[in-house]
Amino acid sequence: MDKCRWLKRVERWFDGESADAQAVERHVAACSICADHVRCLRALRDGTAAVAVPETINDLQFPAFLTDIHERIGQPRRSHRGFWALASAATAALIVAAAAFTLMTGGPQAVHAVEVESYATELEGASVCTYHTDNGTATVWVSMPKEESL
Amino acid sequence: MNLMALGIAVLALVAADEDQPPPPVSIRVVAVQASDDQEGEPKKQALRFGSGTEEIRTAIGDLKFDNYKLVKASTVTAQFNQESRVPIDNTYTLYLQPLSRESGGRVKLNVRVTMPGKTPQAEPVNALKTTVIAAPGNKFKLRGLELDDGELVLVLTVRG
Repeated sequence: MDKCRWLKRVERWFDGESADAQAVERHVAACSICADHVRCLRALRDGTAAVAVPETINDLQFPAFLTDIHERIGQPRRSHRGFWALASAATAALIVAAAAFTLMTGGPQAVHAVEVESYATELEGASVCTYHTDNGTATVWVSMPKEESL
Repeated sequence: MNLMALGIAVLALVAADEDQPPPPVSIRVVAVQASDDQEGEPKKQALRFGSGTEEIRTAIGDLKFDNYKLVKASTVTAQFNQESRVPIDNTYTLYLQPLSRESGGRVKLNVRVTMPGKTPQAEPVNALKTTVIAAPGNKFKLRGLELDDGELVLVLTVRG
């Protein structure tokens, strides 16, 4: 790439810091390298200026801007409190229903080590029943009539 | 060829195993006579358990008699689907018939207690007949049949 020893001075002139502006202008007019460099600098400056345009709120827009902020502050926050309250109530109702069912049905049936499937007697007037003792012993009980059974 | 012979041998063994009846069930039988000293009298003395009744005291703990006297204690080896006969005394005879193996090693069992009929020619009567499913090691009892001045109590335990 070709370089000119005037480039630094040209850059200072472009930034408005040159002490000998007329000499630099004459050189730029005569030197194609420096002329190209100046064009590049101008393109760069224009592009930067286009990007760096700040968004501003002018005085006419400011009341509307504040009004919008006040409206947003005044709006209630979206909350899931209702959902959780409903879920808690449903869970509590389920627990109460399960407890009531357990109490009313006498709870789950106890599993006994010995199950009595059937029982009968051929003795006249006698009856048979079955029960489990407190320690879980299955018992089949023939209740005899007071008088002689046979 | 060798594989085919091995396969046939395995099949024969499996078939032979299926033909084998299940192993018999050991059942402990303890019979006691439960009685009161004097009917209507308030109970003043400690319960009296006769010799040989120790193993069933928990099982008969709910009964309200004063005396428990051993009538019979034996261990029966009962084949499946066959009735094993166990004479208890001159009146009662116990019959045990294992029917099937259930889940958890439990045994389904027909139990009946017979007594003579009204006449010498009459067939014995099933004084009590029941079907139970019993887990090994757990006792169950049959009670209520009259025995002399008391009641016959049979405590049975399937041992596996």
